[in-house]
Amino acid sequence: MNCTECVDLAVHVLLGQEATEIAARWHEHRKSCSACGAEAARVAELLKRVRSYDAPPTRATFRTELRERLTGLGYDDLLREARPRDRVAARWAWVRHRVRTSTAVKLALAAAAVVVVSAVAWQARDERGTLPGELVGLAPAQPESPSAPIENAPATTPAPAVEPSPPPRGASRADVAFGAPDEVQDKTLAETAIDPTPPLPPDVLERLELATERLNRFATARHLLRKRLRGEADDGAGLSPAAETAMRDATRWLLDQQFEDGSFDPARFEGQPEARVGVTALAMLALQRGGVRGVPTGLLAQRVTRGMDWLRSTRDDAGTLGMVKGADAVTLFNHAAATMAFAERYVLSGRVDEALLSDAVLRLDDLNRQRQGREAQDGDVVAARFAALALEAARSAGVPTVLNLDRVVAQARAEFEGSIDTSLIASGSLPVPQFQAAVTAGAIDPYYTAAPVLRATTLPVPTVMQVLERPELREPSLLFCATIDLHARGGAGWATFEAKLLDELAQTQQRNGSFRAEYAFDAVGRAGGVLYETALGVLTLGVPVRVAK
Amino acid sequence: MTHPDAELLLRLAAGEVEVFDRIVDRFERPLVRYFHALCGDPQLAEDCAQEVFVRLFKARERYTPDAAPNTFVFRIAKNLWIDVYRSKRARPEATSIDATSDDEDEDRASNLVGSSRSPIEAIGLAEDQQRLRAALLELPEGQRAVLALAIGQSMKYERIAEILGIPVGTVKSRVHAAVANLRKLLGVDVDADPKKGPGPA
Repeated sequence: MNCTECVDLAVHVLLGQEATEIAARWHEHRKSCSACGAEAARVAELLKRVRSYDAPPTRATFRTELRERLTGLGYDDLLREARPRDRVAARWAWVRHRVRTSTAVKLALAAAAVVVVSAVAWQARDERGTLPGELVGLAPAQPESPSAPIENAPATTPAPAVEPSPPPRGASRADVAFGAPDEVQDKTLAETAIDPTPPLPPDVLERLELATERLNRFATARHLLRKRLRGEADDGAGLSPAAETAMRDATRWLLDQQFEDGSFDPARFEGQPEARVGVTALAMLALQRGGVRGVPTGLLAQRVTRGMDWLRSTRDDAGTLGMVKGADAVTLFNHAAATMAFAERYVLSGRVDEALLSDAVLRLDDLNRQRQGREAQDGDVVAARFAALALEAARSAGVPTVLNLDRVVAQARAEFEGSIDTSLIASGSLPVPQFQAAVTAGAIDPYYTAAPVLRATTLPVPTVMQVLERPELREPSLLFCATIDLHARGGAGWATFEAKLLDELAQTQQRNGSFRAEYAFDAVGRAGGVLYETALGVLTLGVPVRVAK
Repeated sequence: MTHPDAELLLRLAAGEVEVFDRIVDRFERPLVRYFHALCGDPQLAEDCAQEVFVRLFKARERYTPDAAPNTFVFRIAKNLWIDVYRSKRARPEATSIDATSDDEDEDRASNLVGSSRSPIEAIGLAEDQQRLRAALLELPEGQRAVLALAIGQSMKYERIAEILGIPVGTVKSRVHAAVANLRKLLGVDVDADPKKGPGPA
């Protein structure tokens, strides 16, 4: 691409209108040519100004006037408060409009089949329930009965007379018959005093003890993490009313954008369709914590379930969630964000298949390694940040089937820390990539483990605050990490930063609750658009109630 | 997979009028913003947005799932703007400062054309926004329309072409020309020394 083409394409690429390949070539040229880079910055600045041009708030009487106009046109009957009967009729009309006749016939047949099968099953259950109480009395003549193994016990073991416990008041005979065998079998096993397992070798016992201790440790850590993610930990701080309102507005806006299948489409809001999995996962991270505090209930819980089901459905044969192309930055972001959402879901509700989570973690490690092995791409820094956070999320969640996860997490973090020239930290003149790496490294520990660790790469507070002061560092996921880091450190530094942060977020939050997407120079941010910015805005605002000081 | 907005429009088309409020919720700001970008007058923009909802309600049964919801709504908006624009050009004197929206006997169409910004509103606008508004109003009508949709509504060029009924190539060239004109009008230095631009740390 030459300079003329680059200048011609600038406005179209910055508006997200060009194909990914052309945009990639354009960015490549822009980075390598200072004149084109400056020109692109000027065009971006102009587009930002035009985007900020907005109408003043709509007058309060807008709705009333509109209703009056419609009433004046004779639509008052239609717009009156709908009666329940009308509502049912309208629903029926909608169903008729939407559902084809063939589909309706299929549904009716399926419903009829369900009714027939249920009736047959009920009949069978009724017949079994009215049988004499063989199951209750452990009749030895019933080989298919669960009591059969007891009958085969050595003759020296006297079978104790086991009296079935009296049925609870109001319980039917059938209930007792089906509920009794397990209890009776347990009692009988205990009383026969036969140890069915041979003694285990000492080394196996030792390994079992270690595994048990590990599981216990995970269980305790998971319990604490669950409380923190719900915003219910004792060490969580409060939120200012302004922050709570901003968070609620943004959460509500996110909810409004969810599709029926559970996904979110970034292309509707200045993003690109490739990041659909990633932004859906970020929205899930924001929604599955139940807004400001607690866990989702009711409609919100249904939406979260739907979103998580959709994320699961995007898995391809290799186990990648949201594959775009090879191990490119947006693919890694998609997969990492989805893994993070699964890990948090696993902690919060346990409703995630462990095998699915384990596969996602292993694939994430794989994709992350592929990224390290290939040539650097635009968006890699942000994608690697999500990968590191997701791996730590899985480790803290205690995914028991990935045994070398500690090592995997350590490797991911070492990539960040190893790239930093610590001699430059004190001078505050770290190059941008090293600054980003240091801020990311500072956030990983406190976010999931509540263990702020002072490392050689820990930046001074004023240096971290530059994320709000320097436009080239204004990236939502970096801001999220800086917020975690500074909140964990607490003190006057956090107080100053929090005030500035709220001010900054208030400026970018729009009246509908979303946050403006102003970060246009990174592939991940560009693909994520307003949904990416808004979901991360919610997560950033929630840091004080979810991260321990 | 049905788009949430399409779902609302389909329900309205099927006679479920309760969803109309939700449709107003969804499209009120985008429409006001669109008309504001076209005319620079908040009052007129709101009146136009109301008129779009009235037309949308009248035409509710014509919506089919084949059309994207944005396209359906903004086509109505575009057609309305053509009417308003023609009317404005035909009767420039109609922009009387005496015309107020409170006048109940006034013909609605001439009210749309006749409303104008008050001095208080003009003072209230930030200086930058005023300059931007002046520059946008200087642009040719066609360029302003594509800019309002491409930047103001973040729409894809294909969608804009569908709404305005013009080829995608024309949309592209109008956006390009609009940005170039805006730079001149706003005095953005097109010949600035690239070395002075923002660079890495």
